[in-house]
Amino acid sequence: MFFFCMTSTIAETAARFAPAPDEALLAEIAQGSEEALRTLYVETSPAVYGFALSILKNVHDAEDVMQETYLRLSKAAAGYRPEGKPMAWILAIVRNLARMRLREAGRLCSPESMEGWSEPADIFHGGSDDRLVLEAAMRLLTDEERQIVMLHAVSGLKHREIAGLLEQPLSTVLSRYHRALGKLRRELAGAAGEKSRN
Amino acid sequence: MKKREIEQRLAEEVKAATPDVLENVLAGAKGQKTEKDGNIAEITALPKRPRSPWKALVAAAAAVAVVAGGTLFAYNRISNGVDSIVQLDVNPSVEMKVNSAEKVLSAQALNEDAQKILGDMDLKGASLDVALNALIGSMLRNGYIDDLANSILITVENKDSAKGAQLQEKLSSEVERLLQDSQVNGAVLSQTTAADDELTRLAQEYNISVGKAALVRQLVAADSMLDFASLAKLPINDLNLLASSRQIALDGVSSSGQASSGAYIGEDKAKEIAFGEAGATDATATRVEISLDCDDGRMLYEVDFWLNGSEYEYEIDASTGEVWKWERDDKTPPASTGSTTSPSSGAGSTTSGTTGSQPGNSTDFLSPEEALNAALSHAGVSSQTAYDKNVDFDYDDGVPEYEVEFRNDGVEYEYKIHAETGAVLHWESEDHSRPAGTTADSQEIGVDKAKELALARAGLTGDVPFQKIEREYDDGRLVYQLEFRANGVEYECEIDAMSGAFLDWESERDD
Repeated sequence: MFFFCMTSTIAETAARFAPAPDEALLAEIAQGSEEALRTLYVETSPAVYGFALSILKNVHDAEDVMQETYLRLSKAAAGYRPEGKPMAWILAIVRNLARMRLREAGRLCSPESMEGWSEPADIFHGGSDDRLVLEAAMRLLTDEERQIVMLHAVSGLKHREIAGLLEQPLSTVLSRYHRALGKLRRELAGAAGEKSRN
Repeated sequence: MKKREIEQRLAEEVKAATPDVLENVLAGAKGQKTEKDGNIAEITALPKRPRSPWKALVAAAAAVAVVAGGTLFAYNRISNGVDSIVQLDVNPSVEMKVNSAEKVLSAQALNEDAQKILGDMDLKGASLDVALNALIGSMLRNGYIDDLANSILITVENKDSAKGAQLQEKLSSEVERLLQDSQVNGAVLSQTTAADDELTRLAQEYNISVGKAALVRQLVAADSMLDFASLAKLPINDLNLLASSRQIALDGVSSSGQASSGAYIGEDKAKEIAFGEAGATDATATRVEISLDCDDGRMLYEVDFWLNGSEYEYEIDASTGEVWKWERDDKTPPASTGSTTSPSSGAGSTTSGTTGSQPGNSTDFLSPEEALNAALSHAGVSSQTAYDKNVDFDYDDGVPEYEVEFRNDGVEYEYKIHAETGAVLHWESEDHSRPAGTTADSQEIGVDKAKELALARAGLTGDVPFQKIEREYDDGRLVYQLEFRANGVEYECEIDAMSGAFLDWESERDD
């Protein structure tokens, strides 16, 4: 019940969590600018990592894919056509690399090991209290829900862009998104309830 | 916690959890040159992935697609003594530049697998015949042409289309002969295409040859369920199989021989597995549709059918026959029958609803009906009064489980039931009914007042259309959910129906 007591001021003032990177950076990267690559990395790496993690459900694979993404990106930057959607372009690279990795894993591993979300107790950087929502998202959401929430919350994509990226109808994205947020909200309300009882 | 706060917190947590690989990236980026032209992506020092264990060279049919280049070329791909460009795709993709005397001027790996194929081979100066022989031989030896990935795509580009077609014919019969010598039956596809701007860009983006990009583009254009990124990763044989399973006629492509489906279980077996799981037979299932599909780069058979008023959809791994996902959709009964009618007693059903209670496959999973019953009994809800029932099967953290949803008397239930043991792994319910003992809703502010408050908060006046107006009980509290759009902004809010307080407020630019 605790969430009813909060005011909505935070929600209202919260801007985009991940501002879209300046697409001029990609042109500079194409020219070989290390500084531009550095800037782009700083601005986008949580979005890239979060999306990779939401697909792969494994921190090691997600880290690999993040690294591959920036290498691929710096190589392909010359081919980027400015359409005002640099983030969607970057995330499409992440999607492709992550799916490729899943496919490779699928040929080599049993499905169970692919599906598994390994016990995250010591796996993230940072303490466990600091990743309540992330762990809930990994644990409770379906793959599709997790990807959608991650793209909306961390990457700052609009639902319409998410629909395009994930090749799903907008209505599906919206209903999955609302369902996922509902799950997280209930879970977090429960967790907060337990805390106050202890 | 409200949606925005949850999202913000998630963003912060992900940021904190993101490992720092910047130095690796900068070091890696320095080691590679930026591509500015052409479609040849250089090989970067990425970690090598192990090859799939299918090494056995068997007498399987290999699909060989030959693409003869047309007269149009994007960029100056052909110059400096280059007469033709020959691309060879299996999984490895190799591009050779050839002069008019059919001597190889350069050979380049377009992807990691090709690097392995090329190895230390120096094809420069070799005749095209010899180079082709060496490459095919290496692919056979390295297990790239076998029962799983047995496809070869040859792309020939030449400014002179007649010359290109001639070379295409020569190379295709040469490849056929080479495969025959290796006890592999070839299936030859040949097509004439021209590299345009889009193909060049796609080839570059996906690290594939222009010829393969042309093939994939044609498949995607013909079938909207397919997507380029997924298909770009598939061997030509899979693309060929997809085309025939989905009955896509490849425009301008003539072929001889047949693509091997030996690596996959086949449509009949897929149907047998799905029917076994659902307890269906040819006599009871209707509207059966089976097609090969590709999801996240994985080859699947999609089996759709209707049984006893429910729609079933199975996704079956084309290689292993494993059920990856299935879904059963109990169609809600017609409005006239009332919302509390059990969907399983819907019209036209001649057998009882306990379909699939004897799984025909090796797995010992509960039937969907049993999972539903487990959830209903846990909730203390009768299957007669429950409605909007839905049962999905999925793996979650490696655990096979059913996701069961239903509604009863204004309450929404969601269960996760272990598919083997029937244990309730998780459950939740959300009460949308009016809580007992509450007073009449006389102090309710009313929808009109809520709309007025919302518009005032958005700083809007006048006649604004609302996309959604809902009045519901959320955990015992009566709320209004409103959605509206104005001046390119989407608003979504939740207002307490008694106090008029905003419980949630979101606005997002709609562009």
